[in-house]
Amino acid sequence: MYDIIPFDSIAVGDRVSVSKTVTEADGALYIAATGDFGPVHIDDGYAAGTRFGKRLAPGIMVAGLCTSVLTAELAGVLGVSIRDEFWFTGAVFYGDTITIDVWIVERHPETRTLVWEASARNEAGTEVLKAHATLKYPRPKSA
Amino acid sequence: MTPPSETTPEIGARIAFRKTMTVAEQAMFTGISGNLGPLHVDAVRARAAGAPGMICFELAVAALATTCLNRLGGPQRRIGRLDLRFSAAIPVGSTVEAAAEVLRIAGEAVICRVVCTLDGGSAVIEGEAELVPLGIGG
Repeated sequence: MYDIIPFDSIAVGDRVSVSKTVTEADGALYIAATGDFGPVHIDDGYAAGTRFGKRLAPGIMVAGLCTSVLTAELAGVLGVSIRDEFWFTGAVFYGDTITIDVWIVERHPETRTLVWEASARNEAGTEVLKAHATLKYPRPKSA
Repeated sequence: MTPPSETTPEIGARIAFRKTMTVAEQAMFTGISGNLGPLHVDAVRARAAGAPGMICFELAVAALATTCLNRLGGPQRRIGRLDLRFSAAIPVGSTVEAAAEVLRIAGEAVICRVVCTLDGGSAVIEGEAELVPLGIGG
């Protein structure tokens, strides 16, 4: 985990899968860190009146799990994110266990960039988030 | 809880500290340790392994005992040795009582027995700790 993986060692089709239960505490720490006190995340009464029926975990926190898995388990520490695109396709409730699949879809040696995608599903198999993003690698140090 | 001792504690002195180990402890200890072990952060995998849900980080539970140890040892001592046995998995949501009791004094060091007990249940962590003078390194 958190390996130094050269750009040339990563291939299209490489993939990993990691699961995590998203808890109330995770949300509280994220909300405290960002100051995102949107009522759908923090107000039971408000959330009960929405189509979701109860409070939601912040979607961008779940998106953060994708980049965490990417760096820790798949693409290594050399690449830096230069563009991330997320689709929030389903609700994530506190207590849901989310399985995150991350894989490499494109490799561009001319720009030293990788394009990766991710899909996050809940226990029922519903996709709650997907991602399409670009990682840029530094030029190798000349000898 | 009594205030930290400025002097060497009596043999038999005992301090206990209770806490419910919630998902908040779990989330913060994940942040502290970097540990995303599935038994600790993935309720589905934990249940598949036979646990009722996510399992507390062992060292997060043992950390309750350090509150007792630091009180017993006073501000002039730190933990120099921990020798603990973790006899059972502790589900998140458990209330744990950690207790430390002074067993003997060895020069400047204070040797304590450590026991963590599930609320109304059995001991889940048992062992010994040695509190030693500060001994700044470097």
